[in-house]
Amino acid sequence: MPEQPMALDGVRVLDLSRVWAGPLAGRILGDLGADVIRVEATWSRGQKDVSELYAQRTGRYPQGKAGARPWNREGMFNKFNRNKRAITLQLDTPAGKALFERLVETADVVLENYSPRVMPQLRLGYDRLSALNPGIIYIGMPGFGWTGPARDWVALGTMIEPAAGLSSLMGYADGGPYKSGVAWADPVAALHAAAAITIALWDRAADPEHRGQAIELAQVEGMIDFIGEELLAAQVRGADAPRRGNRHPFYAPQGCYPCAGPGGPSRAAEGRASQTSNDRWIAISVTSDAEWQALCALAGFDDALACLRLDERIDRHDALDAAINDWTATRDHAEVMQTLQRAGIAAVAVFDAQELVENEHLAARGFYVPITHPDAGTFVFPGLPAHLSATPASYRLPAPGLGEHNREVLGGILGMSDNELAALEAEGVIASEPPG
Amino acid sequence: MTSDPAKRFEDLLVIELAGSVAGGYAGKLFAGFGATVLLVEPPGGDPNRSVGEALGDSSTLFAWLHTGKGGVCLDLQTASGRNLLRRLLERADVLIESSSPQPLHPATSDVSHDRLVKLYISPFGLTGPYRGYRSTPFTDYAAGGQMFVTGEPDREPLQGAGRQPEYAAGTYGFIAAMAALRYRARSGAGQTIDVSHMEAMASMHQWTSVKWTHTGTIERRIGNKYSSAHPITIYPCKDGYIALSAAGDLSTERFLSVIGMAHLLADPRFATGLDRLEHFAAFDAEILPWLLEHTVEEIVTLGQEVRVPVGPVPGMLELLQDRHLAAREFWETVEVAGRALRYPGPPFRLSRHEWQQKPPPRAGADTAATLGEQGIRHLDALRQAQISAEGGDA
Repeated sequence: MPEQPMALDGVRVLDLSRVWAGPLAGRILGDLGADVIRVEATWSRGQKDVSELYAQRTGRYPQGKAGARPWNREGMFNKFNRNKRAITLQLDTPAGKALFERLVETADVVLENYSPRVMPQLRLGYDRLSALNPGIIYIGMPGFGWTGPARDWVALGTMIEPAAGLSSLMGYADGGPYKSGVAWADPVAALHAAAAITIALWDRAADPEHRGQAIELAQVEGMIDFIGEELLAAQVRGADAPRRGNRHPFYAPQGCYPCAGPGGPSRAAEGRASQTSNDRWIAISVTSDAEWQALCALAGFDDALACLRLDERIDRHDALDAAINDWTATRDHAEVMQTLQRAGIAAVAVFDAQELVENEHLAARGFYVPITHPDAGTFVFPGLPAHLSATPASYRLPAPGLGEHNREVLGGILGMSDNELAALEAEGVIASEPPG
Repeated sequence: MTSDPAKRFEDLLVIELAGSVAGGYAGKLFAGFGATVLLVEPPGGDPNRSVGEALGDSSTLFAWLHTGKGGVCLDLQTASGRNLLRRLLERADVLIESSSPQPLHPATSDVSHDRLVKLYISPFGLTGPYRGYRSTPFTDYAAGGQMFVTGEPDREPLQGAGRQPEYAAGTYGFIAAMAALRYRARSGAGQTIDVSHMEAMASMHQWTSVKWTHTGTIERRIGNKYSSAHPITIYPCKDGYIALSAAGDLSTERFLSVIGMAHLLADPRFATGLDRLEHFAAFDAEILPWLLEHTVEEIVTLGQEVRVPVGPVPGMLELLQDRHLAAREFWETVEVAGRALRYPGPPFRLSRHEWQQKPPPRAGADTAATLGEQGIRHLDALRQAQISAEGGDA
């Protein structure tokens, strides 16, 4: 049997990125077949010792335990770095830098998410790397870009989402701007980074001179494009839209309604929702008169409600919410979803983590994939959400341990001998354990 | 197997059937970076022409998503319409079909041109028990797990900003289509891609699934904060709001020092990010009086000077005035229906690849004439296909 072909076979990515945005971009390329090599500082995964208290409180170590080699066991890192190899390399040492430059000569893409100052300060900016390898595709993904008065701002995804205007569009109608429960700007930057790299790879293949290029991904700008229509609408109106909580300008009713759960019927309508005992909800979005009539029939609402037109439903939204609350509060949210979906109404259970991981639909599509890691054990992780018929994603490598592929990469690709590697380790240029 | 000659990005032909925001954004990325994208609208036009604020014969949503695309009106309910589409697809590199809130029943599932990359984007995908379900942007947030973790602990969960699930699915679709084109260049073979909003969203969590699989912990709503440390939040201040992301103890220390409240660090309740999260109300009560006496500008300047991630929380009109984005010449002027609008610029900048946003296609315009006006390079292909279709040459 020939090996399963991969769309990005033959593409080598040097992934210098940290945390979420950069690593997810690298993971997408890896899932599609690229050879992604993480280049990590010896201290990049923290200290050698992780306190059991910290391991337990973060909830991200296997069974809540730091265990042996905790630096290889953190679940978020392992989620974003599958299908990659990893080497350690201190880029701030002459030897480390020289090795990195030799690797760049063999690579197609360099991916980093440092602040704009870091790579030029290391004298490893695009100019230097493209002099070494004119085919190199270099992507930096700083929060605010490489130019402009805020270029040196320290940025995190949790601050990019508000800075890009998204928070002003979110929140309860009676409250202020709000942020997502996840650092939403990070994965969005990851997607845009992967998209940009695929364009640059295409350009290079089409270029007789096989030239690479530099990609500047200012996270705030890409994030703004995800609400582009809101910027145009505000200009046409001459005003910002009011905050509307879960409501919609022309789908009504629309809302998140409490359902029964392990703690019995929901008491959210009495203002006594208790998250720990009963945190079950259904999201319902009624997009037409016909759907509203169908919902009324299923919920046993009387004709006076069922005959309401869109503008009336918008006017009386609070009263409709109360009626729907009463109907959903004693019902299971998966059951309400099925019942309403059968009648052609957009209703989806508000899934929590367990419900997602155990979800029948996602299981049927093979979305969560089990991956076995030598230090962390076997867990399922989200797969690539694009199903390609001829070149499906593959999950061939667990996240690499710190410095796990020092020998394979520095020896195999650059031809370093074991003695030379031992010397580099003694000098602290590479390592397979974090500093004590 | 044959491999492609080196085809430039600008030579790619993308046929997009009017559908969802997700399909529209995937097509916008192709058009923005120079590929030819033909938007196929039904008689009467893309329903998205009436979503958002009115702009001539379209709307703000349509005008944003369909910049630089050519317009083609085809009635796919008729045999000649379908035949014409089939002819178009013979010359095309990528087909985009999408749907929301209704499920996608592809009009092109029986089209099997060997080299075509078919990108299908829908709320739940083309397979699985939910494949016939409906989902709006609102319910997409529920399906992907974002809604459950967003909002106050004792209130209903909240939706995100606008149509994020569709933009995310559209971007995944673009990446996958480009990867498939790369494979085609090597193998000569096209393929079919199935992207769902639900999976796109479920893949965009930091540790929601990890906490469940690793420790049986359900990530829950904790209010306008972040579950890894405090303060990662939005605070009110004298003239608006600021977003502070003091994720590390060092940045909290710097921030407290610069606002003259370093003494709080001695309080064991505020020792680490997780301690501060546990005692967030007490922590916030300590610093709010200072914040309420200072402006956005003062706080952001002061914080950034000591390298603390803190920034503004602008609304749309305020964002359009942002000095940084202006200095970067991010905004581009596009004239739509006689009105000059400031458009957000490219999502990323390539040093050797231009980006452009031209006006969206007009409604109901004669297909061939529209293509001519837009200077579309594939006009000949379309004319040929049209003539064949009209001649009944199936």
